[in-house]
Amino acid sequence: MSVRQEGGVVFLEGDCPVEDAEPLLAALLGGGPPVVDWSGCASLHTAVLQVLLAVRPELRGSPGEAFLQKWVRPILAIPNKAISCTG
Amino acid sequence: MTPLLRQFLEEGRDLVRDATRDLLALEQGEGGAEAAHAVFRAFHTLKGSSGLFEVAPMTRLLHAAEEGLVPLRDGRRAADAALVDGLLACLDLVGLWLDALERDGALPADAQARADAAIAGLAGGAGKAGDRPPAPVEGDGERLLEPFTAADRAAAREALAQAGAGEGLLAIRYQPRRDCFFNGDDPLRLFRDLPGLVALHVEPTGPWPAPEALDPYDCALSFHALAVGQAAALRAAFRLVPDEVAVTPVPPEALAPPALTGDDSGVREVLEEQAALLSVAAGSQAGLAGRIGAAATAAANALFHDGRVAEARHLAGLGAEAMARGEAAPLLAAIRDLLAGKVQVVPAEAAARAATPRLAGRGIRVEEARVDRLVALAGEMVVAKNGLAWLLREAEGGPPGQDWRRDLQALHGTLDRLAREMQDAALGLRLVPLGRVFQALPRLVRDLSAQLGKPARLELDGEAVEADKAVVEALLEPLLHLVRNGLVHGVEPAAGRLAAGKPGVATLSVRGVQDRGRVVVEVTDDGRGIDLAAVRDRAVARGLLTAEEAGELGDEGAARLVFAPGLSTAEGVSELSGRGVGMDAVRAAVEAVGGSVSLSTTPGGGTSVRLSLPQSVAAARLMLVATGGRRFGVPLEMVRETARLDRSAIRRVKGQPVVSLRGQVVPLFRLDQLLGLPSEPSEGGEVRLLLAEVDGSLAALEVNAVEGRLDAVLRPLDGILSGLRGYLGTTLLGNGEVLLVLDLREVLR
Repeated sequence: MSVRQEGGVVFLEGDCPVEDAEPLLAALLGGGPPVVDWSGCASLHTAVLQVLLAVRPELRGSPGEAFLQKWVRPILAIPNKAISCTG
Repeated sequence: MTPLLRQFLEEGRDLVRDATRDLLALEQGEGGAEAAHAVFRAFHTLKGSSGLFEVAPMTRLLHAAEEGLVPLRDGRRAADAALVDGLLACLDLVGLWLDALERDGALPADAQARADAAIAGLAGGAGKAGDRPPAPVEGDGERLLEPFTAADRAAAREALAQAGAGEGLLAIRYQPRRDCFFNGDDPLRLFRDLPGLVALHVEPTGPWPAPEALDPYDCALSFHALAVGQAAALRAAFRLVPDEVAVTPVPPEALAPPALTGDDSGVREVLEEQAALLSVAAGSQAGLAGRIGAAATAAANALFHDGRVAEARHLAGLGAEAMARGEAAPLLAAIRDLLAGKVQVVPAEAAARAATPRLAGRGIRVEEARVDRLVALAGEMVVAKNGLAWLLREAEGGPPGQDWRRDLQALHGTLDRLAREMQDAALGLRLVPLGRVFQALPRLVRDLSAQLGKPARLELDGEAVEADKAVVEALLEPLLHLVRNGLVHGVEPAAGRLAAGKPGVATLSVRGVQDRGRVVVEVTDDGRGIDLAAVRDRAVARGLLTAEEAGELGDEGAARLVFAPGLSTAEGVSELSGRGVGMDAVRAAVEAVGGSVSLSTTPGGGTSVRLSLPQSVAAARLMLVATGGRRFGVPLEMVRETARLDRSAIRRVKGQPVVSLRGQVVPLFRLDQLLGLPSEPSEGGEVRLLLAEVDGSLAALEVNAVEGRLDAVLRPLDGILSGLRGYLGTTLLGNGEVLLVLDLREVLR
């Protein structure tokens, strides 16, 4: 399991496969402002990325892996615009 | 060009044209099995002939298209829009490549990539056409780049500058299926492993649901990416999800960098240095070539690394030329222009494409009978020449006092007839049918109608009417413009039409007829018509007319205003009344070949634009006039009549001299004054007048003398004269004098 919860923060660590999407979503819905620390993340399945994009938790840390750093971080940095709908 | 290639080009264009026509008919449910077979045969023949030349991508593309056509030929599949789109895209590409073959003797460098894209488009159309976007083949660079930011584009430019041979910029649109996660797909991973990625964007396909309602295994993302590399390699990366991905080449010029401004200090500095170096070099000859070469290389490199590939190539080319000529000036000027932000270098291919209008072919195919007639006339000419030789011998040996006038007159008569017929036959060789430009219209209407969501049908008539090749070719742009205008601005949306009690499907008609030595083409729509009151108001607002003049202007005059340069702009007539973007351009194009335009409109009923053109531009009937000590030709078609009037008949209205002719008051001008020539006092109390008719308005022109008529072949002004306004061309008089022929439309403007 690469999704770990500790002190109100969800940690994504190592390779996060497709199976992580559901537990990640559950953890983020656990109440309290959603916060994700992904500094230990080595890879992210598209389904996991989708959860992050849909829920928009506060992201902490910065993954060392080059693809995540160069390409995924900017994608997650763009806030959901008018297209988001949380109601 | 070998005769074989020439034949391939001609036949190829015919086949492309015929297949396009048949495909469009099939899509409309017309033509039946016969048309399906004809389309198949056209592709098959094209493929077969293409195999004779070094055009492998074309052969490969046509092979793929032929395969896709088999179910259509066998009646197992209907000609649906997806299939027709794919096949039309192939034909477009083949047409483009035939032009390239003619121009450069080879296919363009990106032919492989384009063939791949078109084949992918075919596969989409031939298989289950999903909701995958169609793969654009050309010219859509702007649209493809839409999802990307300026930073993305800059990154792409940089990557392109370092791209290797065969590599290009590709836009990737990946729309994964919603259940893709269950198939084990991980779209993000495909991008992670993609070579040459320069930009990546991920977007939700719709608004996100509330987090509690989110299904994490329902993929609702779409991906846009740019990559630099070989199309085949990139497509291979997506080979497992071919119908969810479109990989489309983006023409590099679509990345057009902004003009060189103060911000690009690095490039500026280098360019300024080279300019300084070159201005010094201009003084001394020693080592000049070396310095030119060094400067050109340094400047081109700087531009190249800034992603300004076209500019870099341009400078490198100029540098080589400058070195060869030992002259720094052109290179220096180009660098300075770049620094001043004055030039926009257009890549050669784009320039060539812009310069050559897309017509089915530039050669002329001539019926055998027309050539036979010319040959027969040439034979008669030889006989007449022999008659002249006989006459000459007789005159030499005959009695000195004999009068040869009668014999000479007879011979002149024969030669006159022959010359006339010969000219007629020769001009006949240049006659081509209007169908040649009409054929571009069905495709335009089909595409535009789908794009605008306005159902429309096109009626064509008079395709067989013939006119000079130059006239027919000059018609292409105005016709495209008018049909586009009619559909975009004239025709109402289907709902509005139904509400107005009109059929939901609009009708556009283009009709050509022959009318007394002229060809008249009428473009009619059954749209909303033009609001002439709004046109008048607009003209007054633009200062083209006073309110009083506008009030006096009849509907006919108001309709003419639509063609006025200041009025028919995008923000002008179109938004008010549904017609008129660039109508002045239409008028200019038609007038350039001696034609005229007029327009009639019915509110709610539609608009009709009439183009009247000479059937042949080369031959003209002229009237000779003398004024200001010079002699000029005036096209007879612009002269309604000539008259002599007593000077006392000239009156003045508001300071403007006018004369009354046949009950009409006509403004009078002195032609010598209009032309800026020294005025010669007219003799006696009588004035010689030409009554000129230009665009429906009359004007009287005072000349010194009218000297008769002349049939002439006009030569366009060339060299330093070509920029001169007010003249249609020149012709040679019998005594060797060069006669300038006036364009009264310009002279009176």
